[in-house]
Amino acid sequence: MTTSVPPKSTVATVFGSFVGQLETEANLRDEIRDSVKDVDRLSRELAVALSDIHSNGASERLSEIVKEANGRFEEVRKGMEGLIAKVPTDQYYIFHENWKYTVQKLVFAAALICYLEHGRLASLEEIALVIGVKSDRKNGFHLDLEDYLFGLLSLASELSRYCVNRVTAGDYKSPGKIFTFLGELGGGFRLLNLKNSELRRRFDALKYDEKKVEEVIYDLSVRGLLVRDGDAPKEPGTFRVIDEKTRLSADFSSDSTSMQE
Amino acid sequence: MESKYQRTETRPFRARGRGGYQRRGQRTSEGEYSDGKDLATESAAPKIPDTPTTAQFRAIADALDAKNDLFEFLVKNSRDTTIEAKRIIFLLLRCGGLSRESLEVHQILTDAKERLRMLQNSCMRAIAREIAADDPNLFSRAFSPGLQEYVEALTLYHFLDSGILVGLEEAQKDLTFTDENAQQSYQLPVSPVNFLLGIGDLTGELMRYSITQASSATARDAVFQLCDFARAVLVEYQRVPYGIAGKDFPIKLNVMKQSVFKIERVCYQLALRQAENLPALPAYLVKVDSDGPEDAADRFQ
Repeated sequence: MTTSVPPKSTVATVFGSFVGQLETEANLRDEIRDSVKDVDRLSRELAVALSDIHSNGASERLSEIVKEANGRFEEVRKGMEGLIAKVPTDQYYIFHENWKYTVQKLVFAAALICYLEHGRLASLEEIALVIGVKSDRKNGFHLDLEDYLFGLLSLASELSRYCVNRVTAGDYKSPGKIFTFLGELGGGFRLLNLKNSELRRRFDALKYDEKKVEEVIYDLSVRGLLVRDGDAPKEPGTFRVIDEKTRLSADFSSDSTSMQE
Repeated sequence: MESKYQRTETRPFRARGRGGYQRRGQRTSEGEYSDGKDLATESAAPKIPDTPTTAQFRAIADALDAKNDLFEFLVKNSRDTTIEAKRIIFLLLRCGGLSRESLEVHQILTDAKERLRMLQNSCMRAIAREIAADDPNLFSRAFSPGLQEYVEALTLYHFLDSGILVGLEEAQKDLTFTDENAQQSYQLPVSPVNFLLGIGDLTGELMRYSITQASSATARDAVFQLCDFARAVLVEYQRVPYGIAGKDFPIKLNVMKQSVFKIERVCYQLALRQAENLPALPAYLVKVDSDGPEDAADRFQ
């Protein structure tokens, strides 16, 4: 400690060497935050537009709603372009938390649209294309795998709500499809080894979404309202009177096992 | 000391052989690690029919496993780094109460230097090698704690050795490695934030050091210089743009202030006691050109 260099000046020099870099990073973060704010506003509007599917007369307007939502994605892609331009390629994960929630909402919206249009699960590549980002990390600003999974879990919650509202609107065909879809999605998620993370906690809610849909299926099938592919549509609101013999028959018991699972 | 460290050094590699990391994902192509993964997929296969969704999720599962395994590997090594760095800090704190020129201090500093070098070459080299092949920013949460503890040990060592604050570039130089056979160079990046948070803990150690130092008759004057140094670090710390290192930073700043206040308190007591006991200003107080003792000296005159 008996040194000729005054300690104060060395401390100042050392700090001076990197404080500038920190300030640059802080400024960049502010800029990124602004861009994300724009995209986030769009994502909220998108969610509002899509929430129209829960209204009673939605089945007639479904293609309209989907079309409108798809149109909104054009703006989203433009907004994302602005954001992507600001993020240096090798610093994606420095700023990732600034946009991850927004991107998760976008994934959810894109996945919901894909389900409504085609009745199937959108892959990460498809969703990345819709949002306007790359699907592979090597190619630059990409869709993070966990953000994709978060979006899918939101989709499951939304579909369980959608399922209930379809029944209210007198649509007895959708619940069965949703049930199959969620079952597959749940099966897929159970293949993953999730760590004790936010994603796992969110995944824990998935079983309740599945359960909700199962209950809808149960309610429909005990009333004989369930329409499965190939079935002739039944008059809504009529009870199917089942005698003991029919109830124990193979056809009906297959219904009831599916709800007990 | 030597043998203890050997144990720390081998730990990450033993853990790696046992399982977790390098078992799944893209690294299965090496063959020798693939058995575990095959078992897992085979047992799951008959239960769930392979739909496009299932197939897609299988690929996702592999990607997630590969990422998590690497993350865990880094956490383990970071943990080992933390443990060894803490031990080095305790070793260095044993300088407290000893004269700067004494043989013991020299011995401690030599030991610490060697252990720091070994730490760099074991756990930290392993971390650097793995993240060089991936995105360091993605895994910064896994290895930051170890890195910060290491910065704390390194800065404490350099302060005790030469009374200076070691620079970021110099710290980075120690953590840049080259593979002998591949001629490749890779580094464990010391980000300004990690460096800063490491220095934040340094003042706590200085505080501990100053208290033992103050109780020793031979080393008292060093406390005033140390106080000066700690105060300079605090001043610079307050200049850093606020909120840069997330929620850790304000907490660290607060702890740092407390530590500096404690060191100042020690200086105050020392100065008072010296004023009481000695009729004239002690020679070593005059030599110090710092804020704290100057106050005391002013009052004395």
